[in-house]
Amino acid sequence: MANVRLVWPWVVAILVAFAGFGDVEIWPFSGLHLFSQSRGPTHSQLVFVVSAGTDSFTAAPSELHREYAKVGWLYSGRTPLPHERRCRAVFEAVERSFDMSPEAIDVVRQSYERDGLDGAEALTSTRTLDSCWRPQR
Amino acid sequence: MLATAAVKLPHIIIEGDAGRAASRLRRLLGAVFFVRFAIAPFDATVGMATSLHQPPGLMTWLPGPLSASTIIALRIVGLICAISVMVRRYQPVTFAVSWTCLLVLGATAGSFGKVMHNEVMLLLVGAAWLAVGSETSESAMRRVATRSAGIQATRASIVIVSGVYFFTGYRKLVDTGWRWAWSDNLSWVLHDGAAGVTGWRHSLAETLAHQTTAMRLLASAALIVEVAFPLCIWIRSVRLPFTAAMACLHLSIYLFVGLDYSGWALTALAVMAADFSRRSTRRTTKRSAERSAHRTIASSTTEST
Repeated sequence: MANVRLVWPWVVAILVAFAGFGDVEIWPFSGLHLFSQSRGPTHSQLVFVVSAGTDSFTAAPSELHREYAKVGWLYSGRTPLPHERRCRAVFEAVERSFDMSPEAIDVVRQSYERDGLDGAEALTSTRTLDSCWRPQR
Repeated sequence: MLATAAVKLPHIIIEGDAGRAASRLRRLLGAVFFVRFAIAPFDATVGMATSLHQPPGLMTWLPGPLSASTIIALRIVGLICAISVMVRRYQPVTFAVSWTCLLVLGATAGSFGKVMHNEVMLLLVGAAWLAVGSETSESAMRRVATRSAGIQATRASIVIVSGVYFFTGYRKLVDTGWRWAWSDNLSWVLHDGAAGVTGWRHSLAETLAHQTTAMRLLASAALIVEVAFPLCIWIRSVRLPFTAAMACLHLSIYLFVGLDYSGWALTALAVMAADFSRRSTRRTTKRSAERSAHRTIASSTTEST
């Protein structure tokens, strides 16, 4: 037992290295996404990535639809949480058409412009973030 | 050669007697648990539709999002246990209960199918302490065993904190490459963050977002510090500067983007300061010993005259 207590902290450290290099999830941290802020889109990246268009998405539409619906619920259903306006736009876009029709993209563009940003520039710039997106497992 | 390095590594991380540092670190981690239970917003999914409920693997047995009363109960239990850890009462059990409460709350807070990343650092470092026994045991043998386990947990904590920061940088490089830093990425993150904050934070975030070159340099510096963080394992003198740099990064993320990474900053500071405090104590003790010796010499000189 004493040896286990001495070795256990190093087991945890090795698991962290294993998860980091291998990009894997480990029980009991199943679904932990150890370093998620650099893996998938963060909330802010999510908004930018969604406005980049569906050509950058690799996850199943239903999975993404649920993610955006959740973000929409979390951030647009309440005030005064961060990203409220942007996420409301994303939520609206998802509700209108998951395929990001020109109409849906226009909703996102308008949300940028409401915040005083150049919507067209935002849509172009976000394409550089395509590689940020990786599907949630 | 590799085997020799592996054997020497624990002694490089903390040299000599580190029992006191280990004891202090466990209590500091208790304090970080207390802060997270007190301030972290775990109730964002209260009332959310069950169809949107997506817990991580270990929480799939939950039928839906946690109720407000369950969250409050877990917070209170966690707070009480965190206090108990700080005052060294029933530490092994109360530390494990605090850790479990935070794991459950962190796993269900966002319903994103993962434990929220805000809690990751504390949970990983805390996991290394789950097997450390009681410091106040009546058995001398158990106290010695606890001390040894605590020292190993302290050393492993330094490695884990270094590893977590390293892998955040490493994964940025692997997944996105240098464009994560050397592009308009950070500027757009700040633009978006500015929409969620008000007053001087909003105007400063917008101003900074327009400084494209400065933002690229800042993002590059952050990425370099993250990737170089394992240097802290071997070089003690860089521990506090590196940790302070990351704490500033977390603070700026909170100020300009509104995301709370206090759990990361406080855990890293507690871990990296553990050895520093011990060395300060040792310097103080050495100074006291010198003064005492000086007094002895002075008194003996007086007596002889």
